[in-house]
Amino acid sequence: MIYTAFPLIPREKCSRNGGDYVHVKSAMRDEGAMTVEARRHAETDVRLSGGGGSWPKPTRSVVLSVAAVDKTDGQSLGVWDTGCGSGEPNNRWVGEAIDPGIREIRVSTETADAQGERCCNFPATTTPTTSLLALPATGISSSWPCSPPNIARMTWSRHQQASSVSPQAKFDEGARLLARDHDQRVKNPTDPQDDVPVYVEFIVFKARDALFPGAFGVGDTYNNLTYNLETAALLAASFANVKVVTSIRWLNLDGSYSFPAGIAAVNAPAILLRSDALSRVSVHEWGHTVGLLDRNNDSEALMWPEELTGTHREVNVSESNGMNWSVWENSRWGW
Amino acid sequence: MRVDNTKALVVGSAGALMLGLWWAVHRAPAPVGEHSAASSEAVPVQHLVLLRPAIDRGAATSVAAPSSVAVVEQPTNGRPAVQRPLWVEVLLTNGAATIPYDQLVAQPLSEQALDSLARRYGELPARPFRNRFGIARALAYVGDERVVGLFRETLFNEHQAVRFPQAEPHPVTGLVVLMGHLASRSDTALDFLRLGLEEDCWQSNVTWTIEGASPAGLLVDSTIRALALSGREEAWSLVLETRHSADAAYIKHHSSAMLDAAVWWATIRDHGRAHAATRTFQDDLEQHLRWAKTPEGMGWRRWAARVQGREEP
Repeated sequence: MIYTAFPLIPREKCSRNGGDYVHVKSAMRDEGAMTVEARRHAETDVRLSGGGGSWPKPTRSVVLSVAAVDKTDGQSLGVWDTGCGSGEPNNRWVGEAIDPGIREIRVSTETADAQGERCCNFPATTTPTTSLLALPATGISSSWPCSPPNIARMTWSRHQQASSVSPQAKFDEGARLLARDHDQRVKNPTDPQDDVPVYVEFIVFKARDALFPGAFGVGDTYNNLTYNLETAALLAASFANVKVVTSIRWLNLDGSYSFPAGIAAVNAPAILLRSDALSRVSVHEWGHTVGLLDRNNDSEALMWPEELTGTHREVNVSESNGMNWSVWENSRWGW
Repeated sequence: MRVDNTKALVVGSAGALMLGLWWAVHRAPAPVGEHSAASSEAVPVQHLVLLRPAIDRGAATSVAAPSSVAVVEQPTNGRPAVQRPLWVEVLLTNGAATIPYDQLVAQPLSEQALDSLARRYGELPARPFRNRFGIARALAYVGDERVVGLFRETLFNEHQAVRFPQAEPHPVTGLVVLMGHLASRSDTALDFLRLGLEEDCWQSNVTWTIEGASPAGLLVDSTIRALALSGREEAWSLVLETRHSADAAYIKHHSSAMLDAAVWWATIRDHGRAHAATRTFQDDLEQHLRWAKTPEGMGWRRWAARVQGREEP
């Protein structure tokens, strides 16, 4: 079925502000852990141009900014009984700002990063969901500003002979790696090699052609890739952003072979993934699509080029600042 | 970001030289033991975007000292003592090491050094071939006519009746590609490749198999690409002539290899061998993506689609 009356880009139908939004309420407490309510309204309105899949993603992410004030000095103990209305100075917020780079703030058991942010996943329902925020302090603000992470919408397709996989799960796992600041209390915020969190939510739709269409789906040529230009042609084909194949073999000019687990174009929304590639391969390749190049000086880096010898969890400041997010904004491949 | 180890060491320092040699020998991909011979040769090394397979992984690290650092060869047969690049020593110690192209060609190789490399190539066990590939690669870039005989011996005689178990191509097929670099300077190599365009040539001379199947088709594919790599007009004419005159089945079977050859031909023609030999995988991929959109590339792709019975791009 073709829905010509609707935009062809999948979007989230939002009930407020015309876009993705999150809303947080917090109980006011003076000490100990508190509960945060968060909502990212994600009633989905998906319109593919025909044969497309349904919304596959069960969770949404929100980024909480968990800045807080420590009022253990006692100045705020009577906060609700003084201040406005009594003619006395309002010392309601007197206290010391908690530096999350020094003092630990945890949200649902995960530590907030040095900038005081924490990316949380919630079930994608219209019902507000809660998350536990644990602060080793007595002072808290009444609400935390929240925002959706960067969104990367993409489509995927696979060769019919390739194993069925869940690219969404692979990208979600990769997103969790990116969201963490793995060396947060080392801290030199100006250090260009410092790992910084990257908040990105991958929304990976099954493409209009869930299996490779036309000649791409015939035979084994585009499933076990053995010719360089055929590989490049598949990568550049616009029937889906992410194409899943069984194997990739690239012949180098010196007669050696490479067997990549994934391939991506730089600054273009195109990724090839081997069906048995690890999750971190997907986000590594995504890194290429937003302009990043391989980085050979740190096996912790997202852009470390070998699948099995790195952790692929760190993005440094330079890389974070250099990401070309616009690549995915207008990508309409395979909708 | 890439790390250039060649600039990191102190040039000319004896200590640095020793450190560099030690590092190169120990950090370069270790030779594969015989006990793992058959299975290890074609085990794919998994990469993300991939850089290079195992035999290449030492590329950035294998030569820690620049080629200007040299050792003195002993005078033999009345020839005077000369200096030879350190990378020769590295390869003599570890035949799997990958020496950066720019170091290989930085200075002419002496006859003695070439002799040493060729002799070492012949001394190393035939299997696993990976342990000799670094030397083969160096010989292809800087060797002379005698190397053709070495490669021919490996292709035709050293693996007689061996059945390689993996579906992946045996690294030996890379020798045919390397023959293309050799053919840029060697008429003998070019003649060899000319014959290699015929599957019959391989079927009658190669007795090793991959999972019991003849590798002839694979070797013809390699030959086609090697002819392009030679960068010689007469070699490329052979490919174009084959494209026009071979039977339909041959063309259909090898058209994808001809596409790859066309990219490599354009690369060598437009940018030169040094550029092609020193770029990264990602550079190579981007070059393919760019070329595919050029009029030349579109023409080739349309042709390939026609002969393969597919919709034209």
